[in-house]
Parts: sequence; C-alpha cells; structure tokens
Amino acid sequence: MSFIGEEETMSDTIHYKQLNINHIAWIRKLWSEKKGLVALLFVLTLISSAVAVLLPYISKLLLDTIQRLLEHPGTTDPMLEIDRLLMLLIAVGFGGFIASFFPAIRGMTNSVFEHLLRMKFFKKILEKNYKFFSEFATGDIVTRLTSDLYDFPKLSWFLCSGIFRAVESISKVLFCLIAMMLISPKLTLFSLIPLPLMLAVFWVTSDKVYDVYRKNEKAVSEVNEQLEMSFSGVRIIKAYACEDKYRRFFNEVLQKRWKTEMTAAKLDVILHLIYQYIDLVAQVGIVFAGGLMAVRGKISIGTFYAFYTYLMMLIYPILDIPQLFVYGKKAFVNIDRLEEMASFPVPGKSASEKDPVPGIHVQGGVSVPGIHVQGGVSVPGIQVQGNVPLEGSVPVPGIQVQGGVSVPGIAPQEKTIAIDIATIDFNEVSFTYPGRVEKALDGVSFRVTKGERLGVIGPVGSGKSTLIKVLLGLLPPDSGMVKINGVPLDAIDTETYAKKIGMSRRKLFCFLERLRKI
Amino acid sequence: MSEAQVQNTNISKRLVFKRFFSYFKPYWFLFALGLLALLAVTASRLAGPLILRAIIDKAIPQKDVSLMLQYAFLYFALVIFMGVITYFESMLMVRLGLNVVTNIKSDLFAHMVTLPVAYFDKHQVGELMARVENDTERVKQLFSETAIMLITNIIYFIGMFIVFISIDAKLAGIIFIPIPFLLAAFLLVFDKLRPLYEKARKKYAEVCAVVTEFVQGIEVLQVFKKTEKAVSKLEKVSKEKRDIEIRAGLIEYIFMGGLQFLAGPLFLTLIIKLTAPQIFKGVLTVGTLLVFIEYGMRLFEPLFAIGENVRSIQQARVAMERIFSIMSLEPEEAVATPTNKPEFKHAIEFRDVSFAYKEGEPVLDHVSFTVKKGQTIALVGPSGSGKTTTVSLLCRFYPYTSGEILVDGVRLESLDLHEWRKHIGLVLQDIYLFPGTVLENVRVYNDKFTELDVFKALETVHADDFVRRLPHGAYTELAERGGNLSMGEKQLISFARAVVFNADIIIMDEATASVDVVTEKKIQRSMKDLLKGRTAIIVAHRLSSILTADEILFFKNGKIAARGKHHELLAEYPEYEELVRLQFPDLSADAELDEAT
Repeated sequence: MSFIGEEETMSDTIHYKQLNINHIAWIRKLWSEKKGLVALLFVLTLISSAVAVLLPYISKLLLDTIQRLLEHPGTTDPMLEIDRLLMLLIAVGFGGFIASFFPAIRGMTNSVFEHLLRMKFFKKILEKNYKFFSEFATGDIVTRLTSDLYDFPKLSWFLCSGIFRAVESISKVLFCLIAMMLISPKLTLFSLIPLPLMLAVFWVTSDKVYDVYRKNEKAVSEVNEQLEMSFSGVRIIKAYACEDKYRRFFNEVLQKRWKTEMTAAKLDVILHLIYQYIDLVAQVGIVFAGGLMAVRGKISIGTFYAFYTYLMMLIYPILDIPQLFVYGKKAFVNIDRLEEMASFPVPGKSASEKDPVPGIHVQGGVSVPGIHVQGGVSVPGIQVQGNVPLEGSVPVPGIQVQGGVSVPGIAPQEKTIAIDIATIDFNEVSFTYPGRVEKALDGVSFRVTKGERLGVIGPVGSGKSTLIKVLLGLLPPDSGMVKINGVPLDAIDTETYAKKIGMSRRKLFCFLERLRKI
Repeated sequence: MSEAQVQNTNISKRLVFKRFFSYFKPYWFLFALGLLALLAVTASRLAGPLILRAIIDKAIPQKDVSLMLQYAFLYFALVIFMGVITYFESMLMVRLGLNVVTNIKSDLFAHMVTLPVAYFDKHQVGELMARVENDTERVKQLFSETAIMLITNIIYFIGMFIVFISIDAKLAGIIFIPIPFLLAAFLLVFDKLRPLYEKARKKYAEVCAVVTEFVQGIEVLQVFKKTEKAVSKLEKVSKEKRDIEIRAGLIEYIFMGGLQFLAGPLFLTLIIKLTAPQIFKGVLTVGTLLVFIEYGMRLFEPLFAIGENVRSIQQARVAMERIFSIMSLEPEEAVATPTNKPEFKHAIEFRDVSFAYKEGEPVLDHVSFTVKKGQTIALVGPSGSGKTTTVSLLCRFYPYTSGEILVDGVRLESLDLHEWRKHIGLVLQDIYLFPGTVLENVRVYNDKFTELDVFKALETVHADDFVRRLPHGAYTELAERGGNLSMGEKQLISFARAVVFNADIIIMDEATASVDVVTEKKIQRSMKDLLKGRTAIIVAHRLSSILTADEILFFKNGKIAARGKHHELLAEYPEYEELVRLQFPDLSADAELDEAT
C-alpha cells in the first residue's frame, strides 16, 4: 500500500505509461551480456527446425516409393529402395538428437537471465531512499524481484524460451513453407490464406492482453502485500485476537484476484482457440483441395500426406508466433514493473549514493594550479603549498583528496574521503516527511566539534530521530546544508563516512546472519 | 509445540492425496463435465487419421470426388466440434483449478495465523509468503495445464491402442513391445529428478526470504554500508537456485532428446520395416500404413507430454506436501477444552514456571509469583533476564516447559485462547503498525470501537496533538510500518491500542521507552486513572515507569532474585539500588519519588 499525502505532488512516482521503455532495445541490451549463449541457441534452433521439417519430406518419399513400387513392381527386392530411405531417416533423426540439447540450453539460459535480472535490480533498490520505500511496499518489491521473474510465463522465461520458441516456430514455418513450395506451390499458397486473418486478430487483441495481465499482476502484488503484512505483524494480530479480521482481508484480496485471473484465463483460451482454429481451418482446406487434387491425379498420395503433416506441424509454431507477442506483452509488464522501481528518482543530495573517487591518494593538502590547499604534501607533478578553505567538494578528476578542496571553476564531480571528522555543521536545515504538512526539522543550525558530546532531547515528534537520519545521509534536507569538516555531506564519500559512525538505535532490525557477517 | 514440531512434519502421500481430494470434491461436477469434454476432444483427434485413411484407400483410388467431399465435410465438422468443446473444457478446468487453489490459499493462510508464535520465529516472512503464494500456484498449474494434458494424453494413448488392435493385433503387439521399457526408463529418470526439483523450489523460497529480509532491513544496510554484503548473500542463494535448475534441466532434456530419437525416426523405421512387406503382399493398404505412421508417431506424444508434465506434477506434489504439512501442524489453541471462557476475578499465579526457547537453554527457571486483580506488578532486571518472556507466556505466545500458570486457579492453557487474549491490552517493545489509517491501527480494524473511543484513547496517551497535525488527522494513511511517523509517535499509537481495547489486564513491555520524559510523565498521570481497578504488568528499564508499582520483581538469569516495593528493594537489595542510582544519581534513600522523577 503506498502512502502519498494529498499535498504532495506525484512528481516522484513514475507510472507505467510514463516510462516509455523501448522493450526491444532493453531485451537486446540484456542479450548482449550473454552473446555466446544466444548465438549457440540460434544455431541449434535452426538445426532443430530443419530436422523437424525434413522428416515429413522423407515420409512423403517413402509413401510415394511404396505407391510407385505397388503400381510398377520391378524385379529387384522393393525393400532395398525402402531401406535406403530408412537409412536417410535414421541419419536425419540423429541430427535431431544432437539438436535436442537446445531445450536444455534454453532452460539453462532462462535461469541465467533470472539470476542476472534479480541481482541487477536488487542492487538498484539498495540505493533508494525513504521515499521509494514509502511508495513501494515490501511485498510488492519482493513480488517484482521474484514472482515477476521466475518461471513460465514470466520475464526470464520469455527472454529466452519465449523468444526462442518463436524463433523455432518462425524457422519451422519458413522451412515448412520452403518444403511445401518445393512440393506444390499452388497448394502452398492455398494454405497461406488464413495468415492475414490471424495477424489481424492478433493486433486487435494484443493491447487487451497487456491491460488484463497488468491488472492480474497487481492483484498478485496485493495478495503478497497482505501476506507480508500479516506474517510480519502476527504478534499484534494474535495479541488483539484479530485473526478473523485478517482472514477476511486476505479473502477479499483473493476474491479480487480470482476475478482478474478468470478474465486473463478467458482471454488466453480465446486467443489460443482463435489461432488454433485458423490453422485447423487451413488443414480442412488442404483436405478439401489436396484431396480433390489427389483424386484428380494432380498430386501423389505422398504429397497429400506431406501437406497434411506439414499443416499439422504448422499448428503449434503458428500458435507460438503470436504467442511471442502475447507473452511479450506480459513480459513487458514485468519489465515496466522492474524499471518503475529502478527509475524511481534518488535525489542527488543523499550521502548514501556516492561513489569513491578513483585516482591518486593524497594526504594532507595538495596545491594544484588554481587550488588553494591546507597542509602540505608532495604529489608527483603537483606542488603543495598553503591552505585550502574546505568548502565544496573534491573536483579534480583522478585525484583522491582527504579533507576537502575547492577548485574554482571546476564543477564538483568526485567525493571527499572522510578521514577524520573535526566538525559537523547543520546550517539552516529543514526537512518535511512526504504527506506531512509540518516540518520535521525547521531551520536547524548547530555545530559539533571533535570531542564534544551533543545531547538531543525533546518531545515526541520534535525531530530528534530525523536529525540523526539527516546526519547519517538517509534523508536529504529540503533546504539548508549539513557539512562535515566544511564539506557538504552529499560530497562526502559514503564508505569512509559510514566507518566513522557507530550507532545504537531504539528499534533493532535483526538479520538472520551473525552481525559480523552482515 | 516443541522445536521438532514447529518444523514441517513429514506428511504421508496418502494424507496429501486425501486432503487434496477434499478440496477437489466440491467441484467434482465441473471435473466430470471437463472430463467428458476431454473425451470428446480426444475422440475427435483420433478420428482424424481414420478419415484420411478412408480418403486414401477409397476416395482417391476410386477417383470418387463426391465421396472425397463427404469425408472432407466430415473432417470439417469434426474440427468445428473440437473447437467448441475445447473452449468449454478449458474454461471448466481453469475455473476448477482457480476455485480449488483459492480455497487452499484461504485455508492455508487461515491456518497459518493460528500457528504458535514459535513457528513464526523459526520461519522467515518471505519463506511463508512463498508457501502461500508460489506453492499453491504450482497446484493450480496442475489443473490449468498439467491435468488436462495428462488426462488427454492417457485417453489418447488408450484410444490409439484400441485402434491398432482393431486393425492388426499381431502388428500392434510388436509395435507396443518397446513401450514398457521406454516407460520404465522414463519413470526412473524422473524419479531421480524429483529431489532436484524439490531442492529448486526450496531455493526459490530461500531467495524470496532473503529479498524480503533485506528489503525490510534496508535502513540498517544503508546506514552501516552493508549493501554489498547483502548483494553477496543474495547472489549466493540465487546462484545456487540457478545451478540446481540448470542441472535438472540438462538431465531432463538430454534424456528426452534420446527418447525422442528412439521413439521418432527409429520407431518409424520399425513400423515401415514391419508394414511395407505386408503392403507389397497385398495384406495391408497404404492408408493403413498411414494410420500406423500417424498413430505410431503420436504414440509417444502422450508419454513425452507426461514426461514434460511430470516435472510439473512432481513440483505440484512437492508443493502440496509442503502446503498440507503446514496445515497438519497443530494450532496454538489445540487443547482439550478450548471453550472454557476465561474469567479473571482474583489472581494470576505463576507457579514454578520454567521455559526455554531452545532445549537446554532455559530463559525462565522456576519462576513463581502472584498478581492479584487490580495490582500493578513491575518486572525489572538486566536485558535477557526473562522479563519479556514472562509476559509472552502470559499472552500464550509460547507454551511453558514446566510449572503452571493459573488464572483464578484454572490452568491458563485450558482457557479459550482468543477470549483470554481479549482480557489483555498489550503494548510491545517492537511496535508494529499496519498499512491503513491511524484510526484502524488503534482499533486494529475492530468496528466494535467507535471513532470516539479511538479519539479518547489518543487523548489519554497524549497522541491527539500530533494526530491532529497529520494531513487527514486520524484518517491519515500510514506508510508501511508507520514509516511516515517518528518512533515516539508510533509508540503512542501502539499505546492507544491497549487503551482503546479497555482490557482488564494491561501488559506493557517497554511501552514508554521511546517517548520523551515530559510525555511519559503525562501518560503516567493518565495511566493512574486508567489502571485503577485494572491489573497491570509492566516491564521497564526506565524505573520512573514503575516506582509506584504494588510489587517489583527483580529478574536475574531467568529467576526472580528479589521482590518487594520500591523502597523495600532500595533498602534491601543492592543490585536494585545500583539500578536506581544509575538512573537517578542524586536520589537519596529517603527521597520522594517525585523528586527523583
């Protein structure tokens, strides 16, 4: 459940429709991380399809040979010619066995992508701040990182199996059509009549799939949110004997989900039938047209049977091709849900999102032309003199500076290492929580110097914990500035800063690992 | 419930099937209709090659166009019929699957909230979510995909066998010889795969649990810059899951590839080698060969489909075992006479009570004390001395190991659990606020308490000021776990909960730990009136909360080391005096309480 007060604008919340993700480019970028696997899959797919298409052709040859030998018996053993064809059949079949590694590699790649995506987006979530976690409930985040990715027909399945099943289907269809054209172009063209109709039906129904599926995924998230809430707060539920109520709440979200699932299932069944029907109708056409041509002696029994078999073979591939778009729409929902989280803005002021500064490690101060530095150090190529006012950030690319340095004319890019905290300054710091009107901190100013002990007391809700969170870099001030050694907090390297802090909090969150490991 | 019992019990396959059948039974009619539809669809599929045979053996050789058209129209009618029936059959099975699984989810959740607190101590939230959501979805797939395909393929297989026998029994016999061997190899391999699938499911639940844990503790991770460690932990678990799935997939698909080679080209070769000579002798027709090829090639389709379904079946079976194992766990209210309505008129007595979370590590060691109705009893002592455990036992979150807890002389566990808990207003150390409004959080969605009751409770605990300042007052939606309130504000709402329920026993575990001293003072003054006539058990580190208690119990190492009123303990028990001095350094032995606080 997200909380946004009426007073707050929706500027921090990016919804699906606003994301405008190029899903194809997104997928291509992900594939580029596993180029070798993808290429291997492509090759094996083509071999698998070719073998599948060759088998009916060999069956046609066998039937025609038997028919011919029946009509025109020769003096030699008829089984000799049949045996030669059977050897060819076995050889092609063996090729199919080699190609059968392809589904295994497909399944393997699904798992690889699932792992890849989970880690990628989990890392992004770890960078987010309090606004994100008030927008996205835990159950929802967990759903997006697990259920949205795992198994059929979710994202990781689609990224490999979903797409490559379509590639297999397209290649099978193409190879079938080539074989059919080689056998009888007239009959082949007749078989292609339902195709435009199928595409028209697909385009009409595909948008509906996205909306229906998105509603269903939302219902799934709501169920997970309810579960997370209930299991996390089970002591309170038991203490206040509210089990019945929470059962009722859970049943309500289940009923809502039942409806969305039935709608999605109905749409799936109808789509499946439409595509299946279109191919079946084509088969009926072949029985009529092919049968008539065979009766009139224009095609052989083998050809008639080959076309019948090819059309039978075409059913599932032709079903699978539009399924690419149907499953693709579902997968795009999953992509959008992941990117919705990843794209949630992280304000640039928070110290929790900074990167260390690579480059030359400098102790004390450094004098660079245009830079006034405190202390002195000799750095190869750089003369050190004088002092520097510790304002601003360390801007010199490639130079790691302790304390701070200001370089006029150079925009702050890199971060200051926090070696020794000499002063902490709050300068007119204000902060308001989302959805609240009154400020949690309102123009707070003070200075703490090294060795001092500062006591912070006050009534409930007066801003004490907020002050700590701002100091820790968890909350970015709306106005004013926090400075460490005269350097703005958001310009401090967070790794070194965190090591300078020891904290004991009122509410303890315990991980299941030993503290040392965490 | 012992530690062994809180782990999932092993449930027999028979019991799994029995329980599953009980969910299936109310919808037997849907299933029967669906089965009939499946039979009709399968019969139509079987009829297709027979119509082709008629065209090849009769219409084409006789060059009979009208006969050919008759068969073609028959084929067309068959296709239409199949389509219509398939729609109804699919919708019936989807509905059946959804209904069964929705009921299982509902019952599973309903049962899980009755399980003892100890169960939730031992299982992560993410893991429990995976049980209710993901395991049940596996069962649903059994209906929507697996069951349909399985039944269809079995019927298809039997139908083909019948047709084969009717055409040529001897030939059919030879063709069917390899089938039992292939089937045996099939079952053997998939039996080896089953533990791998189970492991993969467990790993998935572990992934869910790890993600949940780290998202819930994100602030701690960020403050202490331990996000990389969190990433490593998740990476490890996710990789393990990935690797198990890859291994299982490789075994399954390589085996299936080999099987398809045997059952495809090799089997076709066998059919042609057997039938072609018969055709040349004039015993069989080309059309019959075609039927043998059609059916022969599809003979193994049911088996392959079963093989592909086996994975789903096994995963569903594993999931069902886990679901029904949880449902066979005893709820916390598993007592002989659970309907004893509790009455509290005189006293609660702890009589020689001992308890251990883990065997061999007692947390309470032969604790005895009595709380008379209307008294205020305080529990003090070092951290880990057993104070919170004592109140948890009184709330029946855990069963004590030995001794007795008596309410007016009646054993606590013989009282109706929910009715007993209604006697208790609890304010815990760990505050938990639900997503929802302030109003609903105070009354925990209990409509029995009016808005006025809630506002009065908020006033009593001096939470009315900050609640009024919220954008929508008491109707303001709270973020997850009250993320948009300060710790003190959350504590006050938690406190208001206990007040609004107006229970006759108030249990406070560090209830004022997070409020400032001024607010605490105000709450204490209000509580004087509120606690009048009520019984209160207060656990506190902050002694200012408990100095007026009728009796103070000093806990140490799971035992009550000393007891008495404040001034008695101050005079007679040095450790208590030390505790007081630490908090009130200027306090003399004769100083009044108000001076100290």
